[in-house]
Amino acid sequence: MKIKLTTKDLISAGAFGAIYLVLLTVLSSMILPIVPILYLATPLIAGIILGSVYMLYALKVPRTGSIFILAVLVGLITSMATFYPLIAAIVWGVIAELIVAGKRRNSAKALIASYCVFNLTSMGPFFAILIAKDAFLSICTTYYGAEYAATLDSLTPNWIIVVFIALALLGGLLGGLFGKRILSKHFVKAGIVA
Amino acid sequence: MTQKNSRTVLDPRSKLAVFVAACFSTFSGMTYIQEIALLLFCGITMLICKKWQWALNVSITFAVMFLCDLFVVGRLSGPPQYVALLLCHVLRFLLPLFGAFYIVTKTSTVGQYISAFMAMHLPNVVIIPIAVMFRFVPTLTEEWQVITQAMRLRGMALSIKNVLRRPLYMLENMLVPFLLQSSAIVDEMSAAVMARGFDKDHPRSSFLEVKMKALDWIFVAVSVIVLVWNLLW
Repeated sequence: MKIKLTTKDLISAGAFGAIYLVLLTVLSSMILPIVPILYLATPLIAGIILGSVYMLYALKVPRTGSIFILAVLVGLITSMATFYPLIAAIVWGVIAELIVAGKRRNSAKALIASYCVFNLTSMGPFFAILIAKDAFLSICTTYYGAEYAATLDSLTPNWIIVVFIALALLGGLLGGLFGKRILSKHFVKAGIVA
Repeated sequence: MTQKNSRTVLDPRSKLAVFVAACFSTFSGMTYIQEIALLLFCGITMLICKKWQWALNVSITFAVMFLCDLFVVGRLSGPPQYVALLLCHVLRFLLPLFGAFYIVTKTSTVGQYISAFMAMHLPNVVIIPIAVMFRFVPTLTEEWQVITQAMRLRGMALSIKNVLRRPLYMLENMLVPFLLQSSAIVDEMSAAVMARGFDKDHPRSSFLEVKMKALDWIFVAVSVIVLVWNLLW
């Protein structure tokens, strides 16, 4: 399906980008940071909730490049503090786009797989933990106090990246399955997506 | 036909500059002086955008939180201290950001953004998603309020108890109307945009002309200074 993105697709991209980002921001910066362990589980929880948004978007705009645009938007907003999340988001976006390239765009399994990869963008903020841990912790100290930072420090040894990736992939899988279920249960019936 | 930009004094681009400065500064960690400077800057921007009420509210909230943080938090301990810290410290950090976000989303129309971005010679693939995104956030909050109200009427208020007891059920019941509604709005919006001739390659003319004036350049310069100051120290 090598059709150029039309203006209509771009509008959908912007709108779904807004939905995705508002939900992600509310989850990752307001609700979850209250407890350190929940904050670290952001990729999992956000993945489950945002899965259906992603699935609906991918089905509504079945064009090459749409997923990439969403990834860039997510990257732009999550890289408020550093630039790493944007670069990471672009990489994940390209991979997610490749997974659903061509005819596979209509298959639910390929979409779920691509969402697994896409959901790796939601761990964008944690790149700071990996690359500049000391700086990140000092920011946490100014925000939430030394106690919180110490808990966060003890919770994030160096191998935590593996856990994050696993959590993100698991979140992506669960979110994708959940998204597929509510899509076929509500949206296909209502005739919004085919 | 063009009209002088009479509704707002500042160019959308300088508001975006303020927003970007607020974003990066907030997440880079700030000293007290930097915080106050950033908040003052946001406050002045609000005053210039004629949002007296907001500027006043934000300043008072900031002052209260600041005083509480200095004098009250140290005397508490345990969970109350934690709550106080969260309220006075974390929210205070985010306050300038909320202010800047309010300025960006509420004081300029999407038309102004589009004509500002076009003046910067950005391609449509960049302009349209970003413009729609800004336009969509207020719509989303409205929809969200309507949906939570409807849910409460049906005994499924968004409470901790409900979320913990039946998370998937709640999630489905919140998300489905939300997505259905947004999907309908997107379709309507694209129809409206088509009617305005966005999908042609021909350059568009704008009813609202935006121009960078001296005041705008001052704001951009101050944003850059605040940003560099915060990132380096």
